Amino acid sequence: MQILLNGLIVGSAYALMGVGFSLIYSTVRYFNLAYGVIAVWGVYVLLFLMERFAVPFPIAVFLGALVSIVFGLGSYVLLFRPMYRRKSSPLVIMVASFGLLIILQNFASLVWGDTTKSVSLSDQILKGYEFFGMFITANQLAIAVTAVLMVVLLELFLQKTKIGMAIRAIGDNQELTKVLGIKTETIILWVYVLGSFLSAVSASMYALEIGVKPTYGVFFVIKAFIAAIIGGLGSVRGTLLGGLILGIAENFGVYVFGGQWQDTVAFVLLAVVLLWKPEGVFSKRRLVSIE
Amino acid sequence: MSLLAVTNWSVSYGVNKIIHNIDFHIEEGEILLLMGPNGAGKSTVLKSVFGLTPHGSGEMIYNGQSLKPSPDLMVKTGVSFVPQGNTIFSNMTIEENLRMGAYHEVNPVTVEERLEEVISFFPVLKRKRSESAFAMSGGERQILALARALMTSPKLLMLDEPSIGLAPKIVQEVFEKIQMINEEFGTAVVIVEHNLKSLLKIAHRGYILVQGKIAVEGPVEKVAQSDVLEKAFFGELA
Repeated sequence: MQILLNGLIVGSAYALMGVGFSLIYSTVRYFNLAYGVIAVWGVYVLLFLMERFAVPFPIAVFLGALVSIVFGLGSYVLLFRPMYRRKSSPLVIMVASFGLLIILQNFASLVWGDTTKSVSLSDQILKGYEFFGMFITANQLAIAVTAVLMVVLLELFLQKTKIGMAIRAIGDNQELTKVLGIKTETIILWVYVLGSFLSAVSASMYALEIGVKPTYGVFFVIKAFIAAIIGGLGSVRGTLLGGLILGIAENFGVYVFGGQWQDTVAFVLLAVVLLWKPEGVFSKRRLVSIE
Repeated sequence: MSLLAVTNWSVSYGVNKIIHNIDFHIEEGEILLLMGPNGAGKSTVLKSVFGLTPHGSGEMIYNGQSLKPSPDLMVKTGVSFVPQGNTIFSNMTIEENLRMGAYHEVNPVTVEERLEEVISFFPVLKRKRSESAFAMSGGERQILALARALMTSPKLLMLDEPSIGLAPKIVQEVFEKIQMINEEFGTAVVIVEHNLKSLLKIAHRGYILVQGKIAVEGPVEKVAQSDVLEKAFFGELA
């Protein structure tokens, strides 16, 4: 049960990370590999604010996420949007996003250093909680509570607001949204705001467990990618469940095979899903092969 | 004064001129048929007027005002467009699809009133309003697309091949609904369509387009008697 709980908590961070990634993909239909490193910048800003100005953790998370939003919007407006308007292929844009990932990662190394830095909720050591024979640390509790809160807010936003519905509509049928007179480029800007915010918050929460270093951008985007593929690219609810499945599978994998097999378990899971149900475990759509 | 009047309208894709300086107009409350063989440019005319594809030159007067084609401007000024084929948001419920039709309406009370009015006009949608649009049949999807287009209370409805991919019986139902919309709401309708037999009964006027030029225009009875379409289909006008 303890492994399941740990898996759910890690999975909730993956789920949040995956949802932002999936939202962006569903509206623009290219993979943005710089997604993770943009989140890493948010975590570094959080750390900087906490260490230098003693800003409380929740406020620092929010301010760090704002910086990630600026990075996310900047990357879209200055790099991806011009390519998107020129109808560059998704592969070309993905390669460009990989270039941006390397640039931002190296820039992070230059500014913040290469070593892993730990992130904590406060200066004091916080006690954990025991219930039904399971133990949950204060960090884990913070991750779980944040994830649930963010998911509820996100669902409300996507279901009840005009912009949220437009985001879903663009993910569903972008050509049709143009026919309804919806300015898709404005909505895509909103998606980048939302996606960058989610990525930074989830990375900040996960950093409580593993700390932060420049190369974690790759780690984050891989986890987001796998969660999104498992759940079905573009499906918010599917990606949430995909993230949870990934977290649980990894934790059971680590328990059985050892910590060095964590990523292997994730990729085996990805391969199984791609072979068995490539459209995603929770997707209603079916992929049809083109012969 | 015409509801919509387009003069000297040209559309080019790169160096290829698709539409050649055509003039046409739509009167308030009429059903106008735009006919022609494949590749004549019927859909291109409709899309360019709505702003979905760029046009080369020409002027458009809508409701007495000069307009530059752009989908958001057209929707805001009372024109709705139903594209061919891919017409609904399949991951949304029927009600959500309809609400998307009123995206530009800022007053939530107006949206609710319009939603109830439209949904009571289409009983098939009323029964299933909270169900996903994913499982709808082709005919139901077309009805939903028509209903969504009415969410803005448009003065003009543009329909691009509304019968495409539908069984003959369903086509008849869709055309009946179009006629009801025209009569009930006084909405002018312009239809690009291949399936002419049934439409000739409900349309008031028509244009036949051949190779991007208007070959015949006038009351639908006159257009129906023209042999231009037949000649165009058999390549005699090439």
